[in-house]
Amino acid sequence: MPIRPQIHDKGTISLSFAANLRYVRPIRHFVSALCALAKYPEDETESIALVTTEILNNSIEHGAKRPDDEIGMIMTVTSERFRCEVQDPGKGGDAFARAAITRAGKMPDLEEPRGRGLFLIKSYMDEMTVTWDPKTGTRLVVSKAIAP
Amino acid sequence: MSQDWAASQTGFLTGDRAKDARNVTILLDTIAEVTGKADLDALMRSIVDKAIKITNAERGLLLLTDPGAGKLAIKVARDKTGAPLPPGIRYSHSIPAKVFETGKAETLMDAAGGGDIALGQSILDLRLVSVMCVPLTTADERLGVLYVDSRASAKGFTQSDLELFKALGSQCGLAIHNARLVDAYIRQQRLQHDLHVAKEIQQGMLPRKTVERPRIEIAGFNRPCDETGGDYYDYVTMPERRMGVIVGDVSGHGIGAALFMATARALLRAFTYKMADPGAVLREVNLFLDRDMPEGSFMTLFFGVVDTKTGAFRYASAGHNPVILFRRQTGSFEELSKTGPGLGLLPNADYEIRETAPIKPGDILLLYTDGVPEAMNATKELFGVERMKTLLAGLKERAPAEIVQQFVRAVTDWTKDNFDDDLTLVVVKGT
Repeated sequence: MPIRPQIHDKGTISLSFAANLRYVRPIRHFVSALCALAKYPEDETESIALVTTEILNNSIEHGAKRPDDEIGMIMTVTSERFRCEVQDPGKGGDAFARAAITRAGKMPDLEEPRGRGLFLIKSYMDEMTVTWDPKTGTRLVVSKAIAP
Repeated sequence: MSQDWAASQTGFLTGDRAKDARNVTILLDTIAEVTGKADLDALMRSIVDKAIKITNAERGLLLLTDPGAGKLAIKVARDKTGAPLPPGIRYSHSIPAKVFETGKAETLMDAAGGGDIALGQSILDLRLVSVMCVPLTTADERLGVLYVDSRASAKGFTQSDLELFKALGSQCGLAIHNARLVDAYIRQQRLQHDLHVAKEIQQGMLPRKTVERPRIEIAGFNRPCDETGGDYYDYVTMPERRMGVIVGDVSGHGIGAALFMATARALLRAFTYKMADPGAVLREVNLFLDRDMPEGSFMTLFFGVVDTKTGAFRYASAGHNPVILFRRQTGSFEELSKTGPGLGLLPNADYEIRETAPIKPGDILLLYTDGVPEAMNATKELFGVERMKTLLAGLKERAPAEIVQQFVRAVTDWTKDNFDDDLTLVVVKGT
């Protein structure tokens, strides 16, 4: 099983997988399926799937150094809130953190490697947190309140 | 406000961690498999097999409507071993129809213990205990339904089965839609390739080089408006040092017209091998074409024969546009009109033979299809026969290949390259 799922308390699912772009599409569909099951409006489902895809692409392309680096993803999908956490091991993550911090409150630069991802997150998500640890790499958390 | 992933909110997650883990694994596995398949048939088989596995059902069916048609038809029917079910299998027709119509999933659990008659007598007749059916849709389109059923009472479906099945269905609809697009693209590419091959074969049947014989020189040109066309020209060497010159036009365009053009060419080559009489050749060709051509189709054809010993010219014309004969000595034009009906219109048609005065040095025969005089400019004005005559007179000193080239250029300029017919020209010049 290339994508390893795990069920946690409070309705949280985690996925772990190797840093390979071929996993992005099935995970996008999986996220869509979860959102549909949680009866999110279609436009919310679409924007969440889009942002998730962008975050995963960025982590795999810029965060991972080797194809066997592991990407971790933790999602909580409730009727009130969507939350997604993506962890990648690369030190390239600090660039993302720096971009996020230096551009706080400004329009992200779409030309930068992670500019498009930041732009989409800012457009569609309510909250974003980026932390970087030299040992574990970059951890990005996004969340969004779901309108009833 | 619950933060739990309770069955009431997200369906198939039940709170039983082991069961939930199994369901998530199956869903992920299924999604990974179906989103990675571009082959539509393989994808549909995979969807049905996964649906059976997810639900522990005994049989699974995938029904789609063909684009443009509204009726559901079985595309894949398999049992739990992955074996195809025989044609004509019985299943509940009412549930798939309802699901397709409403776009909402339906489930029937423990039908034998009091089945819903409104959903169809067939469920009771088939002794189905459990039935589940979900729509396969995209954002804009209803594609069909995914259906599973079971007769074993031990395999009654649960609400969480249905939720999982629904999650699968929503993703499969998208995967099918994408695979259909890929399928259509591949078919289109194959068709384009086949048409390109057909064009090359057809163009290979037409003489490309200028032909020189005693007393005459011949050049021709053909440009189909589609990949393939129904226009045709040929030069054939005949008994007793005669040279046959042919221009034909099959009604319509495209691959059908091209096939009849190829048939006509083969017949003409066969008959002109021994027959010198153009009228008799057309009678024979007509007999064959009349049998094969569909109602409403026909071919016009001009067949001229030059005696290269004397310059004598005889012809027969099956409903073809008048051939223009320019006489160098007088600067006058003759029009060589039809001598019988188009080929394929009447089974026993006769084709009169006519003879002109011999072709002399500088005389020019212009054979063409209707694409030349009927070429239209931006103001819908036709190129016309008079313009053709004027142009031909102005080119009287030129070689046949050059005359052809100038005509093609003039017609192309006239239409501003916005040409919607096949274009064919043959020039025979006395030398």
